[in-house]
Amino acid sequence: MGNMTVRFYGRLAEACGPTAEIPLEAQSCTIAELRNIIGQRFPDMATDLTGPSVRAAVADVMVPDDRSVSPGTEVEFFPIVSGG
Amino acid sequence: MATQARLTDDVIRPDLLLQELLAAATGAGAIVNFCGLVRPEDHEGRKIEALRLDHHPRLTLRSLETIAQDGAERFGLSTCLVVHRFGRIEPGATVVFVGAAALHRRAAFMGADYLMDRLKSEAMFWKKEEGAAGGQWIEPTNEDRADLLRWGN
Repeated sequence: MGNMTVRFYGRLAEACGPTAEIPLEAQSCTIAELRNIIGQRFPDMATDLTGPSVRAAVADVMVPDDRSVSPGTEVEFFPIVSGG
Repeated sequence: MATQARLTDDVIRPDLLLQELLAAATGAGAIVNFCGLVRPEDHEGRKIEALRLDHHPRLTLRSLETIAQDGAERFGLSTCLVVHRFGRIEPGATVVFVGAAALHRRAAFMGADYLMDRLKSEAMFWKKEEGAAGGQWIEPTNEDRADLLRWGN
């Protein structure tokens, strides 16, 4: 149905690359479902991606796992911040 | 200047920032400044070649601005400056500068202390210590979290 653009930071960016295009078979999915889809593509990071320590954001705002997103939306995934 | 946060990939010159702070802090009776440097060794004594700070193009600066604003309001700082570097930084170089100006010294000391405790846990950076044996990503320590609790955060 289209591609989701996802962006990674920190250890996730190192493992998955800074961005990835994720094909989506449905018209939309939840953030939780997107985490699982990305985890299948990057199995080494699946535990991190599906765990509570990685937060998701859309348009610079943190979003919960039940938030629905559709192709064309950019979703960002943040590991725990290190602080300054 | 009043309250300001800056994000840079350039060398931080604390001497110039202190001059700037002194010029801006008219009416203040005290200025406290703090420089955070990249340590030459990690917690286990291994040599660090560089500290790498990844950042977000918008949210990182926003996190610095929020912390600076909170510190200025909480301690009545007349001038508050937070400057943070990102990218690859070698040991000995300044990674963060904090300046707090207030009418009296106690507020300036506490303001700078508060700003650094918030920055150490909440500033939106992802840090990696790079050494000869590879590297390791850094997360806030229990000590960092305990420091934050001192302020009721």
